[in-house]
Amino acid sequence: MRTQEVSVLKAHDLKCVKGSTELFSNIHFQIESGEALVVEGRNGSGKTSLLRILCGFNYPAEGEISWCGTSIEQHDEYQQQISYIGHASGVKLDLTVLENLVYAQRLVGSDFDENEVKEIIRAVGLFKQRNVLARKLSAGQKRRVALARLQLEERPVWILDEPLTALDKTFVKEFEMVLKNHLENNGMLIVTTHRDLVLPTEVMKNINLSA
Amino acid sequence: MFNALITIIRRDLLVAFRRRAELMNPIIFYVIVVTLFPLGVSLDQEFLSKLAPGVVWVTALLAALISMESIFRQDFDDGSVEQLFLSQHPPTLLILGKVIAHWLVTGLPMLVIVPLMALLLYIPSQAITTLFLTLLIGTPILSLIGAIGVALTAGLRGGGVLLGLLVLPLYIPVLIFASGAVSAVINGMSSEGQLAFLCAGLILALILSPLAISASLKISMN
Repeated sequence: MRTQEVSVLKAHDLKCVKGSTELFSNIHFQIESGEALVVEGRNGSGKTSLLRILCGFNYPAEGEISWCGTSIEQHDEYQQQISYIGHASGVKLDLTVLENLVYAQRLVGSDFDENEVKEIIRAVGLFKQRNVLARKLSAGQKRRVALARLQLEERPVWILDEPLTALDKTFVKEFEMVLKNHLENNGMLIVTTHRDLVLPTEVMKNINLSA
Repeated sequence: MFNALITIIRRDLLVAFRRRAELMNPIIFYVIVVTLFPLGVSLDQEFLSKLAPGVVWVTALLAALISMESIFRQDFDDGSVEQLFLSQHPPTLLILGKVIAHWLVTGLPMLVIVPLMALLLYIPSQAITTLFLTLLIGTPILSLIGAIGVALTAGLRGGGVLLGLLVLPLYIPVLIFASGAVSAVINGMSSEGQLAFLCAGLILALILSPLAISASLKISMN
């Protein structure tokens, strides 16, 4: 799935308006494969809106986003590069942990391998709960299911909205390792978080929407 | 690509099975309303069999409308809608799969209880096959059209009222042709013309509505 070529995601002069209020304007950035963008800002400053715009779900009021030189609206395969975890993490409450991941992997189109799925469930510490309905899991455990999905989908661009919510400290450490690995494998990461995320500073870029 | 369709149908059926109590509502509504007609209107055999095609189909229409609301609600709540658009497979295909799964749990049971309806409403035996056929062809159209309305109103509060206003006018042609077909057979005429129209409607809906649903979901996500 992953290419060794360097991809570039570039945002030019983005502006986002919700209703009659302007959330942010004049946002520029450029990140390449292997780099992370940490989006900061107060509550309501438009972090989630920015991520959704980057996913192509919403459109910016002004400005343009390009993927490898082509505007994402014209790019046919851009959305197939993305794994997105939002506030609603895409975990189906009426499916078990295992079913959630199996179906997620099949629908995203990567090759299905049950052992790989089980391995990742073990890695996120949910092996004992693999046959438990997601409805019965705690908030942190549900989050873990979503983060396990990320690793299964094997997509180059990870767009994560507050991925650390409800996670315990030990798991945050483990998850940082996963993110580091992803970046080392030429992945791209765009993340919002209110907690400190320890990533290699040389590949980390920051953008503050409240500034 | 066919695999993706099967996968999403299986997933949605599994979810539906785990929430089966909720899904029974429209079917129970359907049976109860049809049962109430002989009690409330008249027990006269001839009168009832004249009324029957209309009763069965108006009830089917309303039951379909009630059941439609559940098709995307959960997906909006749990964030699966976004994932549909990030899939490797075309969103329209996955959406078609979702509608098929939804029809299998809400539309198909209506077909199964056709003999019961026929008994309750004195539908003559030669018309039962036609009634069955109209439901077989017609209810998928209701699901496909209804899903467009649900996708459009999913992001709104109190979208339910709007849904009825949006979708019911589009259901009317199905109602006219379907109950017309059954009436024709009861009156000893051929129902081929009406059935052909229904088939044409189904083909049109199968092709066009996934595109419309996909576009509507995108609008609602915004």
